[in-house]
Amino acid sequence: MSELARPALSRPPRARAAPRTTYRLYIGGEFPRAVSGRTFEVHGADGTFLASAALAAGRDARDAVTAARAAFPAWSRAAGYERGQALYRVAEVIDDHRAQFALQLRRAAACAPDVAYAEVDAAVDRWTWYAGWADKLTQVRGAVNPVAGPYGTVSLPEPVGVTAVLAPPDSALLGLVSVLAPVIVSGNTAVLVASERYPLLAIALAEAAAAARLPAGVVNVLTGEVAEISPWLAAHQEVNAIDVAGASGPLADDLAVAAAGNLKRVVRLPVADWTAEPGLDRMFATLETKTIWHPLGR
Amino acid sequence: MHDELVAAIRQRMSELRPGHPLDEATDVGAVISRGQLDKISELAASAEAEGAQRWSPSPWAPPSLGGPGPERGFWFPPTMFTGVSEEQRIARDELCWPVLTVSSFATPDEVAGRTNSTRYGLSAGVWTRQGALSEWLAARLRAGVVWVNSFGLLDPAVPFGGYQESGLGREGGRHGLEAYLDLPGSLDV
Repeated sequence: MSELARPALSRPPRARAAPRTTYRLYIGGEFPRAVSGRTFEVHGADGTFLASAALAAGRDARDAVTAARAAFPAWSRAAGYERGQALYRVAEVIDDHRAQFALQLRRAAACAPDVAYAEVDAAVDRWTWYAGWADKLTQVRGAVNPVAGPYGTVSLPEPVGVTAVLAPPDSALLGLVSVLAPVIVSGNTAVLVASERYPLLAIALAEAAAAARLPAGVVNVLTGEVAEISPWLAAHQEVNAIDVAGASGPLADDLAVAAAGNLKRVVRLPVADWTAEPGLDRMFATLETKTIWHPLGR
Repeated sequence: MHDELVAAIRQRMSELRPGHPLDEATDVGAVISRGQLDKISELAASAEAEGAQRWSPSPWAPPSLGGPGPERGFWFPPTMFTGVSEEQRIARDELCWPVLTVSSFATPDEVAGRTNSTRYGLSAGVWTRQGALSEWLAARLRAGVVWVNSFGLLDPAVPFGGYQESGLGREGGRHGLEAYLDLPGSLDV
């Protein structure tokens, strides 16, 4: 029987079962379940059940660090222009899915549509602004040093390495973008711990990164309990820095102590108004400075 | 190249003079404490046990310990280990001084990989007549300072400080000054 002959429209409507998504983690470009198989329920600000998400633990954190470490050499050595292009593409994908992000935000934060759209637009603008720094950081942060002797020296910013980022709990998308973009733009690779209130926005961002073909492992996303996951990252020998924006005061103190074990850079900036101009501190906080000396002579 | 260089370093090491650190004629002073001397001695013994070849110009023990060295202080002679591989503890742990480890390599990639396999990253030196190679290596070495065809130079106008577990922040230059300043907007361009 041909397709045309089928009386599709004459059938009575039947009840549909909408797909009930269980969101997964984002590690090394893949979307795996938590190793334990555990999940947790995510509710909107008004108490509505939204979806289930993967409940990450120490083993997932270690997998994410391994993926971030593997991605670091290529991402950190890529030309600033290339990193910038890769990040612009992520902004484009978020912008292409503007309505979808706004709907997620409305459900998660129980806000009005115009408020949700404004936050999505601000997040796209913020990501784009950071992307623009990819090929400008070296000039702005680097230096030619006036040495008293027959030597030429230059100091260059370089990424510190694998950086754990705890997303802030008070801003579902703009805050998330504002802590993640400054880390990866300079060539760091990130293990992002989503905020407990807004894990689905973090996974949506991961899906945008994957759709934009951001190289696997540059961004890895863990969902679950921040106090459960973050100590693993703070103590991990292969993690070089941690931004504790998403940790409460006492937890941030504990993480800073654990981070001292391998002299991680601890990024602990004052509580931010995420809608304000971000400044450069967060971007500069995960940079090293390399100074190269050359003798001068004939 | 390896043997020629090692022979030249041995010759230079043989000429080093032990003595008081404030004496201008001194090349090498004592180790700072008994604890540090024990740590160096233990690591040196581990390197021998793990197959590295040990060499020192002369025993520098003080007379009280049966040697011809200076009377006071925790002395450890300048020591060179050859045949060191990255698996050996002496190649990975922080020793600082006065021990030199020598590893041979076949390719520049091997140099970068091996050098970056430690938890530290204070400084590195590259000696080569190939300008492009020195730039390539300097870009890959994860260290706070890379001296090309030079070593150990410092200047107040030049940032100094390490990657990873070799330290936080920088001293010297504009980067060093920033830690002492709190100017609102000073980082904003």
